[in-house]
Amino acid sequence: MSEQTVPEYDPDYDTDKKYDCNFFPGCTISNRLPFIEKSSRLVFEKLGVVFHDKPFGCCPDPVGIRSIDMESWFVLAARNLAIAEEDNYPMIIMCNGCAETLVSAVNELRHDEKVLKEVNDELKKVDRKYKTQVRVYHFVDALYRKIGTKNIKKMVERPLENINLAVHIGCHFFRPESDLGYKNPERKQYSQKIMEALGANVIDYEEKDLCCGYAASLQDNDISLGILYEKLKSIKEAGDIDAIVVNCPTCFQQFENGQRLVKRKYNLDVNIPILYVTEAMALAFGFDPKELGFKYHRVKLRNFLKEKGFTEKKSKKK
Amino acid sequence: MTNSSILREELAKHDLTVSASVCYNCSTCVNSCPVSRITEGRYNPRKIIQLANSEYEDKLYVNLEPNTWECTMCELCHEDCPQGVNLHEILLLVKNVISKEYECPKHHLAEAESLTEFGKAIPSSRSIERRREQLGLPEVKETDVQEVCKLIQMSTIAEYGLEPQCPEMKKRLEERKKKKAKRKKLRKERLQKEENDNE
Repeated sequence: MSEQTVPEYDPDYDTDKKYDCNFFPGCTISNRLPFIEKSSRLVFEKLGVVFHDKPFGCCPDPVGIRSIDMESWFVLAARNLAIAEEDNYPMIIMCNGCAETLVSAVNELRHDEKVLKEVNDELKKVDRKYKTQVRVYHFVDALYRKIGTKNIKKMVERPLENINLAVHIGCHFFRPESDLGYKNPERKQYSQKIMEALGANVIDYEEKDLCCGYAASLQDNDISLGILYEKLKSIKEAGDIDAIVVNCPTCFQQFENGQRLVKRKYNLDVNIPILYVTEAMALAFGFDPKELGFKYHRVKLRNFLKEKGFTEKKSKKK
Repeated sequence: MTNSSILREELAKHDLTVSASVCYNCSTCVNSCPVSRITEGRYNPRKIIQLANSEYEDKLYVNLEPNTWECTMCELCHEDCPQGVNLHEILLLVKNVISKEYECPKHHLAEAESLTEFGKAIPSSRSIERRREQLGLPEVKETDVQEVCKLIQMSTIAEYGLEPQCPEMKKRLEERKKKKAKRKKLRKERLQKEENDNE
């Protein structure tokens, strides 16, 4: 399975067709940040993806639940895969954590027949069986590898010109490599390349690969804030950043809530709005900012939207 | 010091014994670890691996030195280790053992409870439902909680969130409770003793 033989994106992908996919927003997005779900649905629908909602359970959380009990974590992940397999649509996952859980479960169950048998013996208790047929994608992979920036560019009505973005992809997007099985080092740049396709300037900053620090906050908030401070400081130092773009809801929360705390503790005034990858795309695709629920963001986007001319209702350039 | 080897049993069960033992103490993990940097070495992944391989593994649970829960799970140590030690899963196993034998931090506890009650680690709320409505989003499809509970009813997670379902589990819970109380006492005594020694 060499990566080189796989094309950059699916050349047959046609935005005029309809592609059925199972939608896995994860509980942080659906139950904490529903506005991210909104932009995700709008953007994917525009690109020709039809989302199907399924009664999935918790992914489960690769930090919280897995730390308590690895085996239960694995069985519950397999249960979700079995549910997805009922109609066998590819699964699009909107969260780094959920993607880590489900992608590593898919990989392990594909390569290890002994584990597969054990898991299926467990699943038998609830009359389910996993047949290793399901395809799972982190939504950034779906955008870049399947749909392709060519098709994304086609949908841009309002290019993000003159907008400086700092991109943070988050640890669980690509680590641990051994479990996730991604061999392509370029994968780390997918989010950035998508932003560039929208016309934005992506600005480099020193601590690009540093963790957001969220998971440490569950035990010790000082550690978590210390890491976030280093991160935000280097973003500040990079110059005139208009927004930070993330593809993980946990990083999103850490960046939003942490700005206030970092200001209090370290006297560093950041005040940079956070955009989810799909929110930036929705803006570029010409959706009305009102429809996207920006009012629920903690770091307000009012100035950003005004300065960059997003306040008017759909300004169609083409 | 102690003859307990719960962790080594777990390591063996997950084929990680060799992985843990090939550590040659180079401290690359410490250099990559952002938490190590912030805490000026108090949190130390190298030390965790050393303790996991030694007779002193109790330090990891009783003294919480280093405290494995401080890990931010960025997996840099795992990625950078020149010996290929599976730090990712070994650290998770250490936390699994602490959860099983003692207790997990409050946040994790809440997640486990929520998982057994709603089938999800993060439950919805009234205000979120209203928000979803305002955004024109469909209702979140509920998962079959009974099914989730059935799959985890003999696990540590169930211990945190479920009422015991069968005599076997009731017995196990009782045993664990006693063990936990005993160990808690032990930990308190040790910390007290150390404090006195320091003075």
